[in-house]
Amino acid sequence: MAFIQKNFIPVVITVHGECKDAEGAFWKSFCKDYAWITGAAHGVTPAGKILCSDAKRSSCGGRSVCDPRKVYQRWLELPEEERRPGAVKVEDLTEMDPAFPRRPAGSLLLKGYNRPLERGSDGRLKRMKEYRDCQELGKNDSNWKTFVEPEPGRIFLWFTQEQWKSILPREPRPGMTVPLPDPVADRMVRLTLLNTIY
Amino acid sequence: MKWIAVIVLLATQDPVRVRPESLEETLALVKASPGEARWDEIEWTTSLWEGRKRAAAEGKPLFIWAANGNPIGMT
Repeated sequence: MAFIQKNFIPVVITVHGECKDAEGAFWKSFCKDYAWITGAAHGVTPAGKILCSDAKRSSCGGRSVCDPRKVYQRWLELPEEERRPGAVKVEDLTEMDPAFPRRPAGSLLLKGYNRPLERGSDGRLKRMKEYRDCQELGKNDSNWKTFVEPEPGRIFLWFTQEQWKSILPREPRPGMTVPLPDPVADRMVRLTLLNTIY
Repeated sequence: MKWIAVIVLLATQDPVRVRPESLEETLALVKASPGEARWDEIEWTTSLWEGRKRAAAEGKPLFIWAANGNPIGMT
């Protein structure tokens, strides 16, 4: 992790393939036909040159993760004039695709975690060592995968200003307990589990 | 940005009933242990364009982690 932090600009994004702006165009410039494929990590120069592809595979072709040390070695092999600070001029992004989802003004985001647990022989909860999950609910539901020692999933619930004001007291205090409407509680503790446990 | 932590549990056996006296213990089971989610140690930039600008200015390559739905959960 320290190697990535030191030698790269680490970026984490939702896939930008559909964005009709300069950012989306940059993404497509190196991902091309694979811009919609997700779950991968890519090494890219500021000019948009992919650093972890080979003759058979685009850097975006599949759920592959580039080896950051190999990526960085390829970066060092580029001519100095491509790598030096300021070699690539990047203007400010003045217009963003209005269709890209934005956080509503005044909204409240709840951050949560989840993890599969089981009861031990003593009845106490413990972490599961292995967890099986169906990855694609297709017609055969056959794509099961086993995850070993799964780390917690993250969930983020978005509440609009109108929504959170309707369920929180006007003067909330730390430690206060308030009842929630069943649909809200169901959304928070059950529906958020969908596709977040890996 | 305001963040409020809320913990959600999934059990594969009996329904989980978390009582106030065992809440802290259960939270520790669910949340990541130190060193467990090492990707979380990286200071990720969440804007591809801003990351590109920084990379160009600092003379570094980009390391882009992409998914359909932001991997760190910002969307």
